[in-house]
Amino acid sequence: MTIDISQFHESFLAEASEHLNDFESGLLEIENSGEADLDAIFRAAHSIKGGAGTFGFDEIAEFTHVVESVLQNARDGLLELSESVITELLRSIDVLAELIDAAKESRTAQSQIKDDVYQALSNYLGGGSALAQGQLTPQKAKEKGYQFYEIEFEPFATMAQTGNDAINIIKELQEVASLNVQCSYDNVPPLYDICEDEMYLSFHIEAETSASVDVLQEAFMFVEDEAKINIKALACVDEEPATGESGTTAEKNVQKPKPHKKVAAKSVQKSETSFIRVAVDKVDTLINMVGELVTNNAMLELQIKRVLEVEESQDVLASIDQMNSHTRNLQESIMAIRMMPLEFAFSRFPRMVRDTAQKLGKKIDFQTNDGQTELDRTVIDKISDPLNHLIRNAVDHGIESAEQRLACGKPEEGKIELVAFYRGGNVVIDIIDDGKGLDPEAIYAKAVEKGLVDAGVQLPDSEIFKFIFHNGFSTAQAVTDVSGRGVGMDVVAKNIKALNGSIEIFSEKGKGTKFSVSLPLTLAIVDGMATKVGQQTYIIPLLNIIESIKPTADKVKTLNDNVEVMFVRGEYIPILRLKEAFVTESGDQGIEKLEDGIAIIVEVESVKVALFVDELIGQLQVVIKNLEDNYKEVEGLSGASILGDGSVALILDLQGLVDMAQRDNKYLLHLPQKFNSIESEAQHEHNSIN
Amino acid sequence: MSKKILTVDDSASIRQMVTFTLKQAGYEVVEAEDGVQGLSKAQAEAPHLIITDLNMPNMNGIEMIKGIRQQPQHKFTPILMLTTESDDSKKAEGKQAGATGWIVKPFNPEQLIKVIQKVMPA
Repeated sequence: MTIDISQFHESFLAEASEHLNDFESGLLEIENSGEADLDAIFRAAHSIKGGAGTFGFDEIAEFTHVVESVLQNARDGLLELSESVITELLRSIDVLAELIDAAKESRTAQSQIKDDVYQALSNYLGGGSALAQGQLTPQKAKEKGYQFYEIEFEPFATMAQTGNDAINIIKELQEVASLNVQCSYDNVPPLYDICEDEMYLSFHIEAETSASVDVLQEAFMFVEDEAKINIKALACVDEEPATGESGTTAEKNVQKPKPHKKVAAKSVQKSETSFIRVAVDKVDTLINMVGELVTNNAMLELQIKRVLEVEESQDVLASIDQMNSHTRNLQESIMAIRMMPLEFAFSRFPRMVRDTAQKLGKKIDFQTNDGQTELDRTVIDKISDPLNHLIRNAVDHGIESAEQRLACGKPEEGKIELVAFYRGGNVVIDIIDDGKGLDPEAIYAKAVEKGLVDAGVQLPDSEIFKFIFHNGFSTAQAVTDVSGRGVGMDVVAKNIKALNGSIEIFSEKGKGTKFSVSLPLTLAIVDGMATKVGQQTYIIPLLNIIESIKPTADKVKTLNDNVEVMFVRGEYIPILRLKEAFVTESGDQGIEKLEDGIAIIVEVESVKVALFVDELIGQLQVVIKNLEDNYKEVEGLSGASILGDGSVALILDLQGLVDMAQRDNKYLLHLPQKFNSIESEAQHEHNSIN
Repeated sequence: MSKKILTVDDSASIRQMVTFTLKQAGYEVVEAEDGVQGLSKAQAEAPHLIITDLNMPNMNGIEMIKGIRQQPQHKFTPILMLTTESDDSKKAEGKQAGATGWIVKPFNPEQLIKVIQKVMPA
């Protein structure tokens, strides 16, 4: 029977990667807490080796073998897991990761350190106690000619208790030899002493075979310790096949008490979680399709309301309502498929912190708590790098050197926490360090120097901190190879923004810094308010909308040439006319007079803006299609969506929009505090869409 | 009626491979992911033979074998453990717990079938 096992390769390799993660986190835990589940680590390595051997990845199997041996020695107390051993083991994870990646991509692995690590690990084995026991050597050794053997086989009374059956062993012998079996019942006790699970018979077997003694012994391999076995070679029959008469098979009646079979109740159905592996693109297709379905649904509802009279539409709308709720459930279930624990992103950081801290000679206690949060896979993929950068920064810039810490009365060991939790429709990830904190004065000075702000302008600390997200902005004294080149923070901010997320900084000089990253659960769909400006439909994310108000002349004031503000519930809120923010193909259409349109008050990062549009269309869910794929990135827009009637709606990126306005009007949007000190430099840069 | 085999392993790929191989060879197969599950499936499914890994979370193979041998219906059921060649002490421990025999990892489908036929001839 031949079976192609290559079909399981992908599954094995995915599994191996998971084991490798367990392996790594286990090692780091040992290093941090001094104790950990060595068994679990060993199991991870063991599973990789076992699978690799079975599925024919010899290079992986061979390499893991030495890793496993080191772990085994450590588990058995023969080897101390010193820092250097752990370092080598961690390096072995890098090697294995490369080997596994190479296997996934069906290429030859390129690992410079492989031989190095292999050698180092082998050295820890001191000549290789566990290593010396190699792989199974294939049995062959077929000998010519026929040979007679005499076999004494006396099972111990307990042999049957391991599920071994003498008759099976004799049957196996029969396959390779002609047998003459005599059964002795000398040891059978009186009937009332017979125990159903004990074995009383013994056998004298004469075998004639061309097979080697090894092959005969193989039949007894499972019972070597459970029976007296003696195999003796007799006379040799040269080259001559056994003749019919001499090779007769005589099987004596070998009886063995049979246990009573009980029929187990099979009706019990156990509830359990089982898994299937599905290619991501299949799920993506489903999500796309269900997204379109949701949009169609929403549009259908709109169209029906438009076409039918109120009385007529009741029944239809009720059905549509029902369909809506089903579609939403369907959508939620399908989105849940692509949700992944944030743990996946977090698991790579402890290693990075360890290595970076070691390189910098710092002591850092790194704690993570994923809060059992889950995020869409696409978000997880994209958030790892920004988080990596923030944490690396915390290690390098945040945490002071041990001497500095002691000097300011802090514990020698710095602390960095990575914490995730749900807040509303978002997952918030906090990176908290107890390091030296940001210095607002230094940042402000640097910002002035870079021309990002005019000297003398008063800004709250929270605004000053945001400067560090500007391109090329670094206040680090020296550039290290870990960080400090001032590239990165701008990329971090950009990446997070691209995920429709936001980042906030809280910091106190001398006490520490907290970066708070807020991310939407998913990227694919947004709940929005559809609005019209001229011919164009804009979608405003529902989460940001506070209220909609019809402006009246007495509430609106114009400051300087072009800055309009609206007085709402005791606050002055700047008005942002969407028709001025974007120039569309159809030209500068849209309502001019504020009284004729409507203002939608939105809040982004505690900044309020009144977006002025012609009219509200209604609330709907849209599938986000990014603009870059079909057009180009446009500031102030996070994407577009195709509506049920085939027209294109543009989805607003409110943060981007506010940034644009701030750039044009200089901090205008902090109006409430600084109403009197506004000096507007009216430079309207219209973004255009053609 | 085809014989039913329970395969217990925390590695999905090994389970898949074992199951596939056994089904090809005409056996009925039941899977379990760890010792706890294996124990309850041995009880509920009444397999004719059990193949188990030893290193598993929740309950390891040794404990599970001991537990299964306690079940009256499995007093004599062949139980094969998956081990590595270097695991001589494990073999002894497994036998002590009541295992019938072992299959050495790495193994290929042909070897697997051969060992099964050894303890449970067709």
